[in-house]
Parts: sequence; structure tokens; C-alpha cells
Amino acid sequence: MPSLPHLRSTALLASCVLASLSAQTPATTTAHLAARVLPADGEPIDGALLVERGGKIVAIGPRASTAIPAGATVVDHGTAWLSPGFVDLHHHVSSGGGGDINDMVMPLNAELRTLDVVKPSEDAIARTVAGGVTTTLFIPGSGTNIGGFGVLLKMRPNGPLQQMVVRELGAMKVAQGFNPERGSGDLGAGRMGSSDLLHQLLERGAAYSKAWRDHREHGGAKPEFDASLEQLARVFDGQVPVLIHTAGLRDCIATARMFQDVWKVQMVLSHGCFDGWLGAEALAKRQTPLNLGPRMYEFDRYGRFQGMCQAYWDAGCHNLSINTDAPVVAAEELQVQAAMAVRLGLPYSAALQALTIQPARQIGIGDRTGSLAVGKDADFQVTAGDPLDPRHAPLAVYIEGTLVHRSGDVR
Amino acid sequence: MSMQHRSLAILLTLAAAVTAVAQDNRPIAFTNARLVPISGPVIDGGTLVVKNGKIEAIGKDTPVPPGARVIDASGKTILPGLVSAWSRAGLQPAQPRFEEPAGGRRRGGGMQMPQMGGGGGTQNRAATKVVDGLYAKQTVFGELLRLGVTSLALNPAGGGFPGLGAVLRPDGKTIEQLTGDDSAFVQVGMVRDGATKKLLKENFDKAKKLVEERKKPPEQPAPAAAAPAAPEKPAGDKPAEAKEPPKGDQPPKPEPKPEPKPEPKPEDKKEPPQGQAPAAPPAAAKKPEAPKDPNLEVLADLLEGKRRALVQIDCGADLLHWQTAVADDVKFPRVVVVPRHDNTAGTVDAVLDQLKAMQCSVLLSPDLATQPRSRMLVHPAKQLHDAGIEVGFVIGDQPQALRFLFFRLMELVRYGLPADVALRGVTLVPAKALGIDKRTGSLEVGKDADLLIFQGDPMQPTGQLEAVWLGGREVPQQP
Amino acid sequence: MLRLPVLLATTVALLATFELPAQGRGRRGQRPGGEAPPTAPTPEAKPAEATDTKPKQYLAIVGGDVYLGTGQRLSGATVLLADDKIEAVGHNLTLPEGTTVLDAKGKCVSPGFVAVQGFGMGSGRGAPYADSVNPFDPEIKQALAAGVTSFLAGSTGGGATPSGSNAVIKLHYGSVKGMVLQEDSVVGMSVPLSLADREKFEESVKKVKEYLQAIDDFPKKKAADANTKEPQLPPGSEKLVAVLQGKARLWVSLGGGGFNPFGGGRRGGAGRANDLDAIEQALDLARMLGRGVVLQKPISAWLVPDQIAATGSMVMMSPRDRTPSDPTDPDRTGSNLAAAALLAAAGVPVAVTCPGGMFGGAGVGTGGILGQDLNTPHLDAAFAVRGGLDNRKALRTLTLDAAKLLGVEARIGSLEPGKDADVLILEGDPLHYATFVTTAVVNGKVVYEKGKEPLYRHLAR
Repeated sequence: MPSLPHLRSTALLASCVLASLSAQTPATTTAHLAARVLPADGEPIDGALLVERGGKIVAIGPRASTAIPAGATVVDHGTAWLSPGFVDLHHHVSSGGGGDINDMVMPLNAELRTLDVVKPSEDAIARTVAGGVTTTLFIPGSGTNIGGFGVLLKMRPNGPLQQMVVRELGAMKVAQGFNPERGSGDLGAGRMGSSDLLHQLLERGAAYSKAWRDHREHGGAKPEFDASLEQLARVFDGQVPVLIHTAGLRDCIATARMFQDVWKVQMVLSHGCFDGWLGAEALAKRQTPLNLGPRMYEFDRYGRFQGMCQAYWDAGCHNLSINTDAPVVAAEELQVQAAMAVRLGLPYSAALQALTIQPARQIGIGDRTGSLAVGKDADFQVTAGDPLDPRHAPLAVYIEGTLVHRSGDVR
Repeated sequence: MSMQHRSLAILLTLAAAVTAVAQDNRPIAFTNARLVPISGPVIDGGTLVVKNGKIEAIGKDTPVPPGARVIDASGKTILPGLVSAWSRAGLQPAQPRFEEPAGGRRRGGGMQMPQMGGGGGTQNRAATKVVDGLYAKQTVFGELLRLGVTSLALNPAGGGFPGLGAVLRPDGKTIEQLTGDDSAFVQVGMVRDGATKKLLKENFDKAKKLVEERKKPPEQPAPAAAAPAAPEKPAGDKPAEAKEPPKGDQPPKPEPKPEPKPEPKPEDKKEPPQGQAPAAPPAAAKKPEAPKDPNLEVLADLLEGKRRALVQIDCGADLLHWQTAVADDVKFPRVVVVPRHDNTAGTVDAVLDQLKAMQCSVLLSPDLATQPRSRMLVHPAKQLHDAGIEVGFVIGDQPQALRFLFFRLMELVRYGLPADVALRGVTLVPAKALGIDKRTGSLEVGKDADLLIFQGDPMQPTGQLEAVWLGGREVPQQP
Repeated sequence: MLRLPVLLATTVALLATFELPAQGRGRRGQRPGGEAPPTAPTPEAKPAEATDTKPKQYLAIVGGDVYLGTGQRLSGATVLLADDKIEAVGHNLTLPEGTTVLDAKGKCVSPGFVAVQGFGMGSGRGAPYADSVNPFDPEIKQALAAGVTSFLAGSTGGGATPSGSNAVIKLHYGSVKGMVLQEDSVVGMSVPLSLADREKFEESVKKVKEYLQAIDDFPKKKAADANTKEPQLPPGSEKLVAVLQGKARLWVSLGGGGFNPFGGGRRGGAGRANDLDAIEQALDLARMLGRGVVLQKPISAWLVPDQIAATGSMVMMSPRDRTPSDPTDPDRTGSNLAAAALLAAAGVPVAVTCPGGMFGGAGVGTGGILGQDLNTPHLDAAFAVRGGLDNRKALRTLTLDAAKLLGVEARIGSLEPGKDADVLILEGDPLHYATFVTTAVVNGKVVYEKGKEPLYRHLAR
């Protein structure tokens, strides 16, 4: 059962630990020298310097014009490049290699959350970060219309969990089409029924959220507490986005209509595969945030490998990120996904952003990570060259300034 | 049973005989018709005279013979009857209507075509007659006829040498009436597997040897040649007579007995050697020679040009395999038949050069094909035609599909095939393939009056098949 | 824990100690015996054999950066092809009159990739392959677009005695005759063997060796004593004879092999984290035979590269297949990204293949996942580079070393005079993720051009 007290206490605990950690360790300053830095939301900087203090980037720029603060530890990465740690918004393997992410009895499970099944010692976490991925949205599967809430994690191998959690309710996972249709003969066997069930619950969630908001803002009688709607209410409070598994032309458009036009919540359309790209113009008009993958092409009626990312991009969908849907594609191969998108026509800079700043913004942490800029978390990776080239495994990965992976740590 | 019924039957028979006689004697003249002879230019406002079941005269200003029954064909187009060189009709017991015929795979959007039997052949059965497996009294023949198919082949199925194909008369009620020619052609099936290729190669080699033997003077080398031939030939290779089809009624006439002999090949004047060679029973009676293999005899006849063959391939790959299995010097009268477009193994336009080198006509599915793994259209018929290969069409034996035949032809024309080539491809070209072009396939004097009468133009959507004439008689539109 | 610098420091000459199989030295007019289909040479083949009368058709690929497949590279060189063979490779070649020239300036030139595993792609319906290959299979174009010009089709067998039925298929689009390079150049066995099976096998090896010796001695003995009987092949030992004669490579399945649990493989129950025992058994077979074997997808080969090299054995693997280590014995368990580099450094020929993930598989799919199947074989080599293998040498895992694993290195796998004219022109570095094949030549014929096929034509760069 969803126990909000428990949720709250975890959150409390997390903030306590973080506070105590930062209190205990005096902020050290480290200056990272690299041949090139790809900030992801700006032009590459050659001969660059990145200064980190207390887990944050405090300076970044060409060495010629950026001073190394006195007393800073200098780490010279030589000819290597620095780029932001990658962000994967569709990740299923932080609980034990892909298991324990679907609870299939009820069609709608807005009370569930993956926070409860994260396993910090899981090998997959170490491997994910070995692929340069520093942030993941660890979401439930698509076995039901609402699988639950995914937790947003920094991929620190072996935890502790409190240091990993960026947001306990990272996003609500909704699945529209291709998986959640139920075979049990009850409502929800088809898309009509699933939509109806979903609308009914969203209606309740919206009303519940509004009742509490009204109460907070205008006082009056306290609404009745409903544990099953507490998580869902955060969506309508605007605190948590919805990440929707959907694909194919019909369902992509239907999804954008339902969540953007009707319910007006923050949403991320995840997958968008098959012929979904045929609806790219309608999605571009709505500026729908897209999180594409794991499929990277459609073999179309003209016998072409139609690059999916490129098709969306060309139609004007520039709010675009790329996922692995790990374990479908190995979590550590997020880089390969972007490389394949480039192979099939996505511009390089768009591909790099699709692994960094775009997903960070889509999930609401664009001010914190996803690019290398002053004030942001020092989440970055060191590679021998192009970070999208599978020939380059990260030589080192830093999360909030802490070295969390070195080449060879994971075989 | 009852007296009344019997007398009624007699009356009906008499009536039929009388009308038949009346029709045979009285010429029929179609006047003011748009005549599409296939063998020559279209004649507008022409006259076609039919007498004794044959075309008596055709032309713009052909006079109407005195006493003729005149049919005013204003606004109508007359074509020769359709010839289907590819059918398996009647080889299975009648099926309930609307049921998918067994063995017929439905392919998206295309015509349903008979498939070759499963897998390749392992035995030379070239002398087996397909008509021996025919079930009579099936409605399909009448249906096909009413849709304009005035001649149709019956093809044995399978890889290698599955047997002798027949030409059927679709108005026949009994096996005998249906069978126009029980050994009209040799069916050869190319299947991409080791067994079939081995079978083709070995048997053509043996047949070549047999042809050489036939050329030798019969007296001296005969015993010497017979001796080694004896052990080589396992007598287990069953001649066609031994195989009885699962029919209820036994063949009432000894007609199938002189098996490959009754060769109504008008082209062949070499009667004596032909009569001698394949006639197994008399030869065996003459000397204590090793029994001849009728299957090989058929192939030897083929190589000597006394028979013709339909060679089935499914795709370009099959043709390339044919060339690795069958030597270039194995030449015989043949037509290549491609009943469906298999674009996963090369539609036949992929092997244009090889087809050209074979110097024969090609019968194709009357559809456009698609490029592999896409919906982009390709037009093998046009490509073959443009390359100078005579193209015909496999119109099959499925009434459902035949109803749309002319729409398919129109589509081919829309994509660039000349209309006259399309029409020739369903009449004269398949007639030639079956060796019946001397009597049907075009509107020419002396040929059977197998006619399709359309209201309007058959190559326009408004054209409508109004009547079918077979051998100078109108086919009743209700069975 | 292994670190990259260690790997790079231990670079050793990569020349394998492998004998070329005697039959593999085929040149024009002297094809390896196994190539002809069992249906015997077709009559047409005869005139074709008398090539001396026919003028050669020359095709030159000029000005590209030529990767020879051996690990070397020549910048701005020319590859000259004569009919279906490579005539010469080098700078300043004089082109014979009438040579067709393909300009490869600014591009890379590589031997066609050799996939050591594959299915579909026109390979037909099993033995005899030459009688059922489909030279118009659209998958051929797709594989050519990925750079694959040859692959092993069929089964590599398994069990306690050598078995399997397979063929090295060449993707000569549109030609039946050029498609089967060799049948059964690979036979398979699996380990672990029971003690009884091992003894039986040892006995068979002994018998076959005696038989082969007897055959060698037979002419002499026959001359001495006309009554000497011809040695008889021990029954059921054809495959083993082929192995011992060097006509076939023995591939050993290690009873499981690595997989990528994060790439889709399910970690079911007690997955093995170590297959050293199986590897040792396979090497034991190699020592018994006196010939190297091929280890199929080993997990732990990286722990014993020198032992593998000492037996002349080789490794087929996907660098992306991962087996987590056992926390109780982390240093001796689990796979290693650096395996290919470590093995190559020890002189072990390594061929890469597709990962065994959810969408891995050695075919050319059209399902939408890109980067795990034969549509992108270069990525598997790229992952060997990720593990520390030198970029140029990594190309060998798709070319010469792959050909060695199939026992056909005398015919394909490198750009050397006398070898088959299977050549790629690529837009750039063959192992870069965005590089496409612009032209593929098989048996001297241009069989794929990016600009003429719908697959990737729209991706103009």
C-alpha cells in the first residue's frame, strides 16, 4: 500500500543526509583540464578548463581566459574531451537487471513507485554509469495503463540510495498502446476502454489536486485524504511530469491530445516508434517533448531505413531526447542509440543534446544537470574523443564532482 | 427412372441434336462489329462469318452469305476466346463454395494462382498424364467458360518432370468430352533444391543418350545397347498406365491405352519414328528388349522437337538455377511460365538477358509486381516486352480472379504495356504455348469460332462480356 | 582489474600461427575442391574455365585509403581487380587498357566484411547450398549495404562428435554461380564432454590419424606389394577427417556462453560467470587434434589468452556480450570488454559477431532497433576498439581473422593479389558509426551502390 508517511519520511531522511554530508565535507575545489569540452548547450570549447566546487560547476571556459582558483586540485585529462553525463528517461534495470517493474493485477497503478525497488548494488547501475549515463528515470514497465511513478536517480554505483535520488516521484509512467491492453476480458481490452479508464482516474486526480490547492489557498474544510491519489495529485500540482509509453501514428497524436490539450499536464512522449513520425507535424505544433527509442528507424513502404529521430527533427520536433528502454538496448549503450540516430540523419549537435540537456529539461531538472554551465551539477564524463562514438568508453565519470567510474572499474 | 422421365430425356436429347444440326448447317454472320482478330489490325464495323463451328470469313466488307443468321453486333467488340495455359481445375473433388481451395495460397492483392506441389521432384514422371487425376462433373469448367475461357490447360504440378499436361474443352461433361488432348505438353518444374536439379540434369542426359540411340540403325547395335540399358533401368519406374487415379468410374474406353502415341501434333510429319519410339507395348512385343522407360521416351521426344514443354519457374533465382542444372545444348520447344511474382527471389525482369537467351515466350502473372520489401511497383511484363520477349499471361483457373482479368490488363496498359500486347497475351500467346494456335487464339479463317462478345470495349471499364461462343455455339449464360 | 594502458603496452605481432589449409590456395583455374557443388560441374562451366581465351575485365578502385584487412593501411592507393580476383594493390599501378575506374578519393577501401554467423541473406534451404541459394534475396542488398560480402550459413553442429552442415556464402547478388564459396568448412562439437565421450573421441582421432598416415604410405606400399589393400576410412569419421586434413575448422561450443543481461538477456537462475573448464576442454581437443579450434562466445577467454594462442586456437565473440562477475570471485569470473584486445595481443585471431541481446542476432532485421544485428557489423568491431584493440587491427575481426575462423582466409578477408575481388568503398573510417558503404564489389562485380538502392540513398552526406 502506498504509505505517504513512509514516502515523506524517506524524503526527509534524504534531505537530512544530503545536508549533513555537505556540512561535513568542506567544499574542495577541483580544476579539470581537457583538450575539448562539449557543454551541450553551447559551442565546443577547445583547451578548456572546468572548475568544480561542492559538486557544482563554478567556472568553465578556455584555459586562456579562465583562472584556476588558488588551492584547487588540478586534474589534467590531457587530450581527452569532457561532456555532460548522459540522461536516460526510459530505463528499467535499476532493480535487478530488468525485473520487478510490472504489477499487473490492476489496470491503473498510480499509487506505485519504483523508488521501493531500487537496488543500489545492482551491477546494472555500475554498468550504466560506465556508459557515461549519470541520470536515469527508472520507470515501471508498460504492462498496465499506469505502471506507477518512476524515480529520478543519479547513477552512483552502490548508493547510498539517499544520494542517488534526485526526485522520488520522477514521472508518472503511462502506457498507451502496444502493451497495456488487457487480455482478461474486462474493460481495457482495447484502446477505447483503456482511454476511458485513464480519463476517469485523471479526472479524480485533477479534482483531488484542486480540492487541496483550494484548501491551501483559500482555507475552508479540509478535503478528505486519499492515499491512492496523493501521488497522482503531484502531476496536477505541476510538480511531476507524465512519461507516456506510446508509439504509432494514431496513439502518438491521441496521447498528445489527451495529456497536452485535455489535461494540460507536463508530459513526455516516450518511444514514438513505428510510423509515429508520420504525426510529427502535429506534435511539432504542440511542441510535444519527445523521448525517442529504442527503435531508431522504420523500414518504410519505400524500402528505406527512415531514421526516426531525423524524421521528427525535420518536421520541427526539436524538443527531442533519446532513450535505451534498457534492457531492450543495454543501458550502457545510450551512446550507441544517439550514434545510430546520427547515422540515420539526425544532426550531431541535436543528438548530443538528445542525451543531455533535452532530457534533463523534459524531466524538469534542466537547471541542475544536462549541460556544462556555471551553477549546474558537475555531472560529466571524460572520453578519448567524440562521446557518441562507441569506440570511446568513458575514461572517467563524475557525478556532482565525485569520481564514480574509472575505465576498468567495470569489465 | 420412370417412363415419363425417360421419354423426357429422349426428347431433350433429340432437341439438342436438332439444334446442333441446325446451327452446324446455317452460317452465322456477326455484322457491324468491332473485330479484334489479335492476328491483325482491329476491324471497325466488320463482319465475321461462322460456319460449322469455324470462322468462315472475317473482314470489313465481308459479304453475308445467303441464308445466314445475321446478328447485328453494333456497339460490340468481338475477341477470340481466352486461353488459360495454367490451371489445376478439376484435380480436386468439388469443394463447398466460398471455401479457400486447398493448396492455393492467397497472396496480397494478387490473383490466386495454383502453386507447385510441395517441394521438388525426385522421380521422372514425364509420361504420367494429368488427366488421369481429373474429376469430371465440376461446375468450375462451366464457370470458367462463361467467363470467357474457351480453352484451358491442365497442368501436372511439382518439380522436375511431373507429367504430361492436357488441353481441356471446358464444355465437356465427362472426362472424355473434357479431354481435348491428353498429352498436349510436357510439364517441367524448376524448384531450387538439389534433388530437382539432379533429376533435371540426369534425365536430360539420359534423354540425350536415348536420342542418339534412336538415330542409330535399329538392327546391329540394338542388342548391345539394350544389354547395359537393362540393369540401369529399374523397372519400378511406373509407367502411367499403372497409376490409376482415385476415380469412381473406370475409364470406359480403352482410349488412354496407346499412351504417348496419339500425338495430334500438326507440325510433326515424322510419323514413323515417332510412332515407333514411344509405343512401348508393341516394341516390347517385337523383341525381348529391355522395357523402355516411357518417361524417358517422352523426354527424348521432347528433345527431338516432337513435343513441347511448359517450364515453370517462380522467380529469377529459379531461372539461374535452371541454367546451372540444364545444359545450354538441351534445347526443346518450350515456354517459360511464371505463375506468380516472387519478389523475394527476383521477379523475372531481373533475368531479362537469360530469358532472352532462351528464345521463347514467357507467361506471367497478369499483375504488376512490387519491388522487394516495398510497395514500389515494377512491371515485368512491360520490361520483357520492351526487351523483345513475347509475353503472355497466366490467367489461371480461379473464377473469382478471372472476373477481374480485364481490369488487370487495363492496369498493365495504364503502366505502359501496349493494349494489343495485353490482349494477345491472354489469347494467341498461351494458345501457341499449348500448341493449339492452329485452331484457336485469334480470329482467323479456319479457326474455331471461340468468341467473346463484349458490349463496348473490353479494355474500358464500361466494357462488359455479354456472350461467349465456343466452337460456333453460344454458351448459355445460365448453366 | 585490467586497465587499458596495460593492454596497449602488450601489443604483440598479430600473425597467427595457423597453417593455411592445403586446399585453400586456390587461384584462377584451380579452385578449392570443396567449392564445386556436389551436382558436378555443369556443362557451361567448362567453357568458362578456359578463361585464357577471354580478355580479362579490369576494375580499378583508385585513390582511397586502402585498409588491407591485415592490419595495414595504404593511403591514396589503388586496388586493381581482374575478373573475380584481386590483381594488384599499391601506389602508381599501371592500369591495363579498358580498365573501369571507380574513384575512391577521400573515401576508404576495405575488404568485404566476413560475418562468422548469419542466416537468411539468400543462403537457401540447406545443403547442397549451391542448389538452393537465392541470389535475388533483398536481404543480400541490405547485408551488402552493411559491408557484409560473405558469411557462414547453416549449423555449426554440436555434440560429442564433429557435426554440422553449413556453407560460406558470398553475397554475389544476381549470380547463383558465385554464391557458395565452400560447404562445410566448419564442423562443430560441444564441450563439456563426458569422460567416456572424451575417450571415444580420442580413439577416433587416433584412428583417423592412422588412416591418414596409411593413405600417405599407400602408394609406396602398393608399389612394393601389389596386394596391399587400400586403407579404409573409419566409418562415420568424414567430418573428423576433414578437420585433421585441415579442410575444416572445428568450432567448439562451450555450453552456454556470454550474454548481455542489460541488453535483454534474462538472468535466469544460477547463470555461469566463468567457463574456464569448458575452455580448457576445448583446448584439450585442440591439443589432441594438433590443430587449433574455434571457441564460440567464451566468457573467460580473456583470462587465458596465452594458453589459447599456444594451441593455435581462435575466438568468435561479441565484445558486447556481458556476463557479470561473481562477487565472491570477481577477478576470475565475468566477461571483459577488453577480451578482444587481450586475445589479439596474445596472437589469437578474433572474429566479432552480433551481440546476443533482445534484438541481437546475425541477420539483417527491419524491426527498428539499429545497432545490434548484421545491419551494423562495424559496431561490434568498434566495441573491440572500446575494449582497447587498435582501430586498424580491429578491422581484422571483420575481415582476415573472420576468414581464418571459417578456414577460407586463402580466398577472402584481405586485399591481396590472387584473393577474391570482394571490396568495399566506404564514406570514411570503416569503424566510424556514421560511415556507410557507398559501393560493394563481390567477385569483381559491383553488386551494391548506395546511390542506387532505396535503403540509405536518402541519407546523402
